[in-house]
Amino acid sequence: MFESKLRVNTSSKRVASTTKRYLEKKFGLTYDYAVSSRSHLMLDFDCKGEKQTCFTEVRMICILYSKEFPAYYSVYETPNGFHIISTTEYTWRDVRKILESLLMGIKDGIWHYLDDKYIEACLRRGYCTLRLNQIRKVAEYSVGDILWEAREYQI
Amino acid sequence: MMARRRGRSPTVDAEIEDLEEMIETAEIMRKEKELVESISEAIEEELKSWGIVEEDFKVDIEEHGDIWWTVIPSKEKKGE
Repeated sequence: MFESKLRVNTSSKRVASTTKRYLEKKFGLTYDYAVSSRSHLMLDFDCKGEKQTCFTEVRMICILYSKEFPAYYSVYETPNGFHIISTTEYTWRDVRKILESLLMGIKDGIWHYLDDKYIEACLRRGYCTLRLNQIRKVAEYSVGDILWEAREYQI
Repeated sequence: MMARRRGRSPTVDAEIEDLEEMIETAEIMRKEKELVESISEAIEEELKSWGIVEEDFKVDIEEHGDIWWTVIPSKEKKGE
């Protein structure tokens, strides 16, 4: 069976969308999007089958960090957990500071579902990257406040 | 390399040469951009003719700042 190793990078959402649809039609395979950035905070959570408890951790991180580093955060549900993406731009210096602080929190046992290997990889590479596979937006936070949460995750 | 013109210092000649190179590069970039746009439009038309409509990204990050998108083979298809 044909396996494509082709990866296409672009700064344009439209070009990415066109390329994805074209490749899927051309090769009969499925492709995903990934998003990468040095100016947006991106986090990955592996919920280990405990979605509700995991979401409580996601909410706490969003409220704490969007307040300390003023920003607007979106939360996306994934098949195995959640993604947090800051829609406000940061500098890489701030992103790095947040990642280092969160990593320390994981090592101190504060955060249980946040993926430490993912954070280490972001710090090593110098940017954040997430595969956007079967995602659904479930919450938004702004500067320490809850803007909205999907009904199943509301307190 | 551009021949040195009478009465001009080598520094001025070098600056003129740099500017000419910059203009040439800018022109190449403009042509490349036009080409990419026309190819994108052609592919878009072909996709429409196949009945494949535009896909929503579902991620509300604007196209500004230091951000890029990658199209990668799906993990599920490879059985990973």
